[in-house]
Amino acid sequence: MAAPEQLVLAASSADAGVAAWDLRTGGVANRFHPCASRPRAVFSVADRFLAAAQVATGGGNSGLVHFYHWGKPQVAVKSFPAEPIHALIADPEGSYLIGGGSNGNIFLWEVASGQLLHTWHGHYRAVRCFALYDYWLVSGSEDGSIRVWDLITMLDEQSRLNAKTLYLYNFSQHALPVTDVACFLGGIAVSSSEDRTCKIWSLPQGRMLRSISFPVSIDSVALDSRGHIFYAGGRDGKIYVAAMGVDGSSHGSDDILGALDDHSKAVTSLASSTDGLLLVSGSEDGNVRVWDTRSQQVIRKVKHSQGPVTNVLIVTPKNVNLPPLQPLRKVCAENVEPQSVILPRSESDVLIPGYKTCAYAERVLDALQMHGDSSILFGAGGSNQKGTDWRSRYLELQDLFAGEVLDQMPSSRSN
Amino acid sequence: MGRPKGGAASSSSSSKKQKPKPKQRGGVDFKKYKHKVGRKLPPPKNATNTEIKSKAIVLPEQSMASERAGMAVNKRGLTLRELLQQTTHYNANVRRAALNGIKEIVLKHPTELKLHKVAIIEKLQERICDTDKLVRESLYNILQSLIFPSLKEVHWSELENAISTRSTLFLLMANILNGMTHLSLDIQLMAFRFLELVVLNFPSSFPSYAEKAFNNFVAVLSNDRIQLHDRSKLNSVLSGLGHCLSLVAQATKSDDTSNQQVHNLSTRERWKFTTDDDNSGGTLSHIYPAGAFAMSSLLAKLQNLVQILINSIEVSASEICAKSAIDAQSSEALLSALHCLDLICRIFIHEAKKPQLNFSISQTQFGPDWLRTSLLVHLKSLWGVKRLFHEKGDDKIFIFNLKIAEIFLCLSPWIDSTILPAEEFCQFVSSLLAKEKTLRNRDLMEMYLSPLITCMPGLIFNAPDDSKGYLLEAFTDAFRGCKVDCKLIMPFLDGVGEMLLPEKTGIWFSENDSGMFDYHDAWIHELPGILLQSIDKAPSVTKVVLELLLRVGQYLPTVDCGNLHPLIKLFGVKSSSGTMELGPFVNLTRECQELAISCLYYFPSLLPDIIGPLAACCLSDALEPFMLLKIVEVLQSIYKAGNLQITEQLSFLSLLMARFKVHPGNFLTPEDSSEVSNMDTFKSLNRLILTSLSEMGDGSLVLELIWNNLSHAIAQKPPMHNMNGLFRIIVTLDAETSKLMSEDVIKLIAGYLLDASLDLSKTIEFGFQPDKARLFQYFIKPCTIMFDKNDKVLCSTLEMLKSFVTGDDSLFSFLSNLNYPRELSCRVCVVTTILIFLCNERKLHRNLSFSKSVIKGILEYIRRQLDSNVIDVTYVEKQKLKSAFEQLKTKALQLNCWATVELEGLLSAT
Repeated sequence: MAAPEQLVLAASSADAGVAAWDLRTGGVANRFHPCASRPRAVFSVADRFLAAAQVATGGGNSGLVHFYHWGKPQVAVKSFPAEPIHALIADPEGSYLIGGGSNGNIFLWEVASGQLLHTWHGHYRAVRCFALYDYWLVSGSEDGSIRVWDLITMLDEQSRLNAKTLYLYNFSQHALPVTDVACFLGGIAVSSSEDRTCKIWSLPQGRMLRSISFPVSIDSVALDSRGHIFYAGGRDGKIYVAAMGVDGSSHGSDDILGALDDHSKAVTSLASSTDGLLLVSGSEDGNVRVWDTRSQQVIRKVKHSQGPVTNVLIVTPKNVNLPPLQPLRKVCAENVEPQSVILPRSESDVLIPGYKTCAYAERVLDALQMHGDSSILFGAGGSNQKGTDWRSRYLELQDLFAGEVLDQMPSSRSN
Repeated sequence: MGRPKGGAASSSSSSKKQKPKPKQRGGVDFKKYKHKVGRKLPPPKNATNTEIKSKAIVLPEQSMASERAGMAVNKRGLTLRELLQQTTHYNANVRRAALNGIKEIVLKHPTELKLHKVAIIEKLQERICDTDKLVRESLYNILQSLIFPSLKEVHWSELENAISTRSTLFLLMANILNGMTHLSLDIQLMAFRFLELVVLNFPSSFPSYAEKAFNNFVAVLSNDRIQLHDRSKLNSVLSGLGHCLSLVAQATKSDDTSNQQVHNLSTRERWKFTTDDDNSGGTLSHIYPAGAFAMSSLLAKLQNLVQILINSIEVSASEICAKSAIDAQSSEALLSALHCLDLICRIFIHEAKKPQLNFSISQTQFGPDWLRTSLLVHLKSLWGVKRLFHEKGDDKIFIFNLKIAEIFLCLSPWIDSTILPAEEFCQFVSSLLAKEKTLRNRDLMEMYLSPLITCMPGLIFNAPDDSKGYLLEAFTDAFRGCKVDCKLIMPFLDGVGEMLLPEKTGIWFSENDSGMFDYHDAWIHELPGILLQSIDKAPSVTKVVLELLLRVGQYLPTVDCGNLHPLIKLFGVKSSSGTMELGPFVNLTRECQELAISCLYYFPSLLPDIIGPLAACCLSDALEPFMLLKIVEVLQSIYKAGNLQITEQLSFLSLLMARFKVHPGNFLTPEDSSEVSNMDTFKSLNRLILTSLSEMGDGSLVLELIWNNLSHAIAQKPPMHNMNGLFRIIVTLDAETSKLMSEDVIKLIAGYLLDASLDLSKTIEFGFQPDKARLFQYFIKPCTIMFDKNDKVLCSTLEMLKSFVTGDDSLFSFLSNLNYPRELSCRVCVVTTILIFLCNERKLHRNLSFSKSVIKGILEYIRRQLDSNVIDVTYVEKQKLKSAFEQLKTKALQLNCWATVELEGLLSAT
C-alpha cells in the first residue's frame, strides 16, 4: 500500500460543496455535495469521516449537520440538532463530537451512538470556534470571551455539581468576537479576534501570557508545529507570521516577523501540515493556496468556487470499517450508558526522542491501567475519586510540558 | 588659678536665670522730691581714682579636642559629642537645650547625622522615659522630623548598615516597651506615641515586638485609672493601635499572595528585602511574611482587645449621647476605637477563612466556631450602640453608624439570625444609604461610605428575599443620586458591574427573580448619562463606564437598547439647523475610543441612529487615521454578523469615500507644507472600502444598491481624489455596467478627465514631469478600466472631449473648475494629454480604434486652426498647438487602425 494520501479540503459558505485535492499532486480527489458551512464548522472526525455543520437556511430553529464518507460524494447522514451549529470539533479518537450553537450552547455527542451526552449553556452569544487540548475544551465566542472546560468534569454529573463554576477559566480580555483559537503542547493557546489582536494564553496557569496587536482584524490562526511562530490570517488578505515569544523577552514591534501576501481578500482559514513545512490558506476570494513555509512562496493555488472559502483542512482519510453512523440526537436521553468506541491507532504511538515527558506519561498511564481499565477515564458515571486523581496527575504532566516548552523558547529563538 | 567669677563661660550662658528685679518699694509715707540744684562739682584734682578696671579674663584652652575651628558646632559652640553628653544631665533644662542643640547641628551639618546616627540614636533613646514632658516632646519632634527620615533615606546596599539599623531599632524598641509599663501615666502614654512613630517608619521591625506591644495596649486600655480621668489622652493610644493592627492586617492579607515568593528567597535576601522595603517609604506596600507574627498568640491578645474596645465604645457612645454637643476629642476616640475593631474583625475573618491544614492543631482553635465565640458574642452589644445612635441625626453619628455597618458587613457571612436579625440589619443599611443624600460633609462621607457600597452586592445576594427589594431600591436610588465627580461613583459602578455580570465574582442571582431585572434596566439606563458627564468631569470614570457597557453588551444579549439611546450623543447630535455637531468621541483617548467602537458591535439596534453621527466623526480631521480604519472594519464585521442593514453600510461607505478630506500635501516641498499629507490614510481607506464592498457579494447587485448614493455623490462634483475613489467603487463592483451610458455620467467623466489633465497639460511643454504624470495615471486608472470594458462609454466620452476642443460651450457647465481656460491652445493641450495617455494604454487600442473618427476629427480641427491665420492666436500659442498636434499624430499612428488614405491629408499638411 502506498503512503497515505493527504487531502486538502475546502468548504465555502456559499453552497459549493466540499472540494478535496491531493496535497502533493494537486489533483482533484473528490467533491462532496451539498455543503455550505461557516468558518470552523467543518471537521474531520478522526480522519474517518467528515462532519460539516450547515449554514441555517431560512425557516426553522434547528440546525443541520452533514456527515460524509470519504468514498461517496453524497451526504451519508443528516442530523438536526436543536439549534444551528456554528462550530464543530471532535476528539482525536473520534469518540465525541462537540458542537457550539448560535445561542451559546455547547453540545456533546457520542459519535458511535449519536447520543447527546450533555448540553450546557457555555456562552452568552454564539460560539465561534473550538480547540481541544486533550480533555480540555477551549471555546471562543462572539461575546469576546474564551472559556476553558474540562470535559471530564462536564461528563460527570457529580463533579459538575461540586464545581463552583462549570468552566475552568474564563478569559474576557478580547473586546470583540473571538474568531479562532489553536492549542499547542504545554497548554499554550493562541486566540485571534476581530479586535485586531492575537492573545497567547497558558491553559495550565489560566492566564494571558501576552497580546500581539495586528494592523487588521485577524480571522484565523494556525500554529507552526515547531511552536515558535504562528500564522494569523488577516482581513487584508495577508497571512502574518508572528513570534510566539512566550519567554517574554521580546515585546513590541518585532512580534510580527513578516507576512505572506498573495490573497486579495480576507484569509478566513488556515491549516498547517503536521511536519510544519506546508501551510494551507483559504480566502474570501475563493482560492485555496498551499505555501511552503520555508521559502514563503505559494507552491499551489486552486480555485474552489466563486464564494468565499471558509474552511480548509488537511486530512489523511482512513477507510476503516465503521459501525453505521448515527444521526445526532436533539435531546439528552435518560439513563444511557455511554460507550466509547476507540479504534486502535498504532501508527500514532510514536516515541519522540528527547521528550522525557513522553516516557513519564507512559509510566503514569501504566500505573493507571493497573488500577482498572481505561474506561474509567471516560465513563460518565465512573468513580469520581479516580477521576480527580487522574486529573491531578494529568495537571502535573501538563506543568512539565509547559516547563519544557517555555525552556526551549529562548534557545530556539536565539538560534 | 582660682575659679573665675560667674563660673565657666560655657555653662553660664545656658543657665542664665531671668531673675525679676526687686521692685522699688517705698515712697508711700512722703513724697520724694528731686532737687536739681546747679552743676555737680568737679572732683577735686587730688582725688584718688578708686575705679578698678580689668579686661575680660581669657583662659587659654589647653586641649586639642576643644579646638573648634572648622568643627560642627551649634550656635553655642558645642559639638555633637558634648551635646549628647548633656542629654543625660540632671537638669531638665540642660537636657532640653541639648536636644535643641542636636537638632540645630543636624540641620546645619547633615553629614554629622549620617556619620553618627547610631551613636545619636543610642544616646537619645534613653530619653524616651525622661521625666520631663518637654524633653520627651522635643525628642519626639527630632525623631519624627529628622532622624527617622534620614535613617530611611540611606541606601542600604551593605548588609552591615542594615544590621546596625536593626540593632539600633532593637534598643529603641526595648526602651519604648519599657516606657509603656512606666509608672508615670504621661510617660506611658508618650511611649505609645513613640511606638506609633517607629511602626510608621519601620514597619518591618514591628512583628518581633508585636506580642509585647499588644500586651501593653491591653494593659493601658483596661486601665481604669485612665479610663476615668483622662479619656482624651487615649486618642493617641488608639490611633497607634490602629496603625499596629493595620500592619497585622496587611501581613495576613499579603500572606496568601507573597508567601511563595518570599519562601523562595533565602533568609539573607528576605532580610534585605524587608529593609529595602522600609526605604521605599510608603506605609502601604510592605510585603513580608505573616509568619513573622506569631499568629496564634497574637490572636489571643486581640481577642482580649475586642472586649476592651467594645466596652470603651459603649462607654464613649453613651457619653456622647448624653451630651448635647459632640466634642471633637471624644468622637475621634470613638471613631478610632471602631476602626481598631474593624481591623481586628478583618484579621479574625482572614484567619477563620484560611484553608485549614489537616495536621495543623489550629483547625479547632481558629475556625468559624472560634470566631463566633470570640467575636460575635461581643458584637451584640455593638448592635446596641447602633440603637443608641439611631435617634440622632448628626453627621458624626452617621459616620459612627457607617463604621458599625461596615464591621457587620464584613462579618455578615458568619452572622446568623441568633446574633442579629438579618432583616433588621438590611433595614439599617438601606436607611443609611437613603440618608446619604442629605449629608453636608461630602468628603468625609465619601470616605466612609465607599466600603459600605463595596459590600452591597454581597449583602443583597445573601439577604432574605423580602428584604432584597428595599435594599435594591436604596442602592438604586443612591446610585441615581451619585454625581459623576464624586468619589463614590467608582464603588457604585463596581457594585453595579458585579450585580449585572456575575462572571466577575461568581455571585449568581437566581434567574427567576424578575424584580432584579427591573433594577438591571434602571442601572443600565443610568450608564450613558454617567458616561457623557464623565468625559468632561472625570476622565478616569469614562473608561470604567465604557468597559462596563462593553461587558453588558457582551454578556446580556437580551438587554433593551432603548435604555442606551443617549449613547448616540457620544458621537454627535443633529442640531436644529440640520448640521451635525460632533460629540466628545473624537477627543477621547484611543483606548476609550476603541472601547466605544467595540460597544457598537454589541448594540446593533442603536446603529441606525448612530451611523450618521459616526460618519461625521470619521470625516473630522481630529480622528486618528488608525481609529478611522478600525471603525470601518468594525462596521464591516457588524454587517457580516448580520446586524447591520446592507443599505446602511453601503451609504456609510460611499459617504466616507465621497467626503473624506484629502490633503495631498505639497509634492515639491514637503517640508514647507503646513498640512501633513493624509494621502496614505486615504489610500488605505480606499483599499479597505473597496475590499469591504467586494466582500458583500455579487458586484453588479451591490452596485445596483449603491448606485443611487454613488450617482448622487458624483453629481455633486467632489474633489478629484474623492471622485477618483467613487469611480474606483464602480470599477471594482462592475466595470461593464450599463449605468454609465447616461449622458450626464459621460459628461461627468469627461469633466473629471479634463480636470485631472489640466494640471499636467499646463506644463507639458516643459518636459516630462514624473510626479504629476504618476498622479494623472492614478486619476485616469479607473477610467481606463471602464473604457476597456465598455467601448461605448469611451466613444461617447471622446465625443464629449471633441466638442470641448471645438469650443462647444455646453460642456463648460459640467466642469468643476470655474476658471477653466477658454483659449484654444490650452483646451487643445488638455485634450491631447488625455488622448496621449489613453493611447499609451495598450489594452485600450482596440476600443480606441472603434472611435477613430472622433480622434481624426480632433486632429483635423487642430490642423484647421493651424492653417487658418486667425489674428487672436499668438505665435506662442501656435507653437503649442503644433507640438500637441505632432504628439497626438504620432500616438494616433501607433493605433495601427488607419487606412493609409485616411490620414494622408493630415500628414501631408505638415
